[in-house]
Amino acid sequence: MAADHHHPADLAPIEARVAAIESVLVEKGILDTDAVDAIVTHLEENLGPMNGAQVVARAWTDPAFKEHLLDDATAAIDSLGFGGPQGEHMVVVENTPEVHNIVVCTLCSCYPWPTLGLPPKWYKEPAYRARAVREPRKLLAEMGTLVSDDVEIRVWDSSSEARYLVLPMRPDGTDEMSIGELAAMVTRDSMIGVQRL
Amino acid sequence: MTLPDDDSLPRDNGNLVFDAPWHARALGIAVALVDKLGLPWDAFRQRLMDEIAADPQRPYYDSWGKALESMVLDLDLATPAALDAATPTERAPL
Amino acid sequence: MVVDGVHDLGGIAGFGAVDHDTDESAFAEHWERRVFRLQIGSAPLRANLPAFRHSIERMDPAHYLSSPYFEHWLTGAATRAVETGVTTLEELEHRAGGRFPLSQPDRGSLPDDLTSRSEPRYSMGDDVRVREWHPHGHTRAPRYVQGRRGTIVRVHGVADVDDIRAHGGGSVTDPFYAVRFTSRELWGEAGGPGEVVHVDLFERYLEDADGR
Repeated sequence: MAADHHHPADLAPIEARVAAIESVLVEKGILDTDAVDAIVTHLEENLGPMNGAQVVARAWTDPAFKEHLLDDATAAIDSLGFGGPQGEHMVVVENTPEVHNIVVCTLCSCYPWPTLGLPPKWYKEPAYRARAVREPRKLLAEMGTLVSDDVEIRVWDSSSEARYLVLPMRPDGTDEMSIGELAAMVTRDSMIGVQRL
Repeated sequence: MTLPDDDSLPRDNGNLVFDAPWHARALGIAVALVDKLGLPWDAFRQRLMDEIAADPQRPYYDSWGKALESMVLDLDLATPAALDAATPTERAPL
Repeated sequence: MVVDGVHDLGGIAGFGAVDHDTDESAFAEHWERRVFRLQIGSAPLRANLPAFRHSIERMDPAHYLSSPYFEHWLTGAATRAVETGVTTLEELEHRAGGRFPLSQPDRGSLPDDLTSRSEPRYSMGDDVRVREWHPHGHTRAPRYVQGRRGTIVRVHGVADVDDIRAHGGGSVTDPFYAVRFTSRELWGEAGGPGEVVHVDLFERYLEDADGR
């Protein structure tokens, strides 16, 4: 940066800063907003926890699929058409009466986009990222999920290429439900691991 | 737990969204096509699932390409000869 | 001298409750969506994800902690646009009509070992120790596990080492693993019983548990 540049005193509003860099990129032909708008809309509308919910409901009702999912989650999830960016290396971790799993990215915000969509705000902010690895049982209780002391808590910090999805336990009394009804019960928070169903 | 088979696991080589520029293009084409035709995204996804089931060992984005191709052909948008003759462009639209 | 970035948040105290809202769209405000769009839509910016992440890690610590998430993306993207010659700080501030804070300069460098590897050295059940080296540049070994002992529980496969890619070293691969640490190992007496933390770590971050 030029040493003699005189910096303005006042911080430019965020919208003005966004417009500044965006206009530069558009003018230089680097960013074609029309083309990318369709992609962003696709990511917002077609990716989301409803996808992960289908994976979960299928695992609950199809033992062979569940075995495949736990052995090679990427291939199993791909076979349902839910692969894609940030889903190239999937790992599914199963909740049991003895084990409760919770997923975080302490370093940034890594998250399995194709199965859960774009991450919620709280997942990306310092409080969750700092505390999930330090005091998960207490944090879960604060978030409304009481995990008793005899249940092991496994935290998964997504620090590399793998993206984690929690397979929640199937709630009691759901034996007669269709796969669609089961999928409708599965929440984003249960697949991150901060909620039980 | 198992070491992934090289052929079945597209590695993320650092691109934010896609492993290779042509994956981005495949997504772009699929989205534009589905959008322009007014199809629900599930229509494409069903074809994708069918292609994967037909050859589970094929790399995931290769199945994407096949699903796109089948959609384009079935909807009479191109002929097989025209697709064969199409030269790939170097510049990805994104 | 601070060698670990402000972004490396595992275990840091003082942040209070998680603001847990179950009903959220991906973007709270329109400018956030525009930032997302310009980053993923610009080939020179999205081409190197580790470099992008590191551009955010280089933000002024106070700016990082006091700004919303997508302002991190804005700052990182703008920083890289300036650093790669797409634009200048003067141009950005002129267009924005005010100050446009960017990230601090990159102080990272390439490590000595640039050999690609694909055959895993470790197996499930092996005890390992994470090296302690606290680099100036980008790494995916969080501060809270450096120097700690853990057990290999998954042999994930092979991936490009982010520390190398972020600083212009291109694609250099290494096996990577899920390593399990007990809470007591990480936090001492403050650790929670029945709590374990898994971190995905490259082979070159690790050494045998007895230090070899």
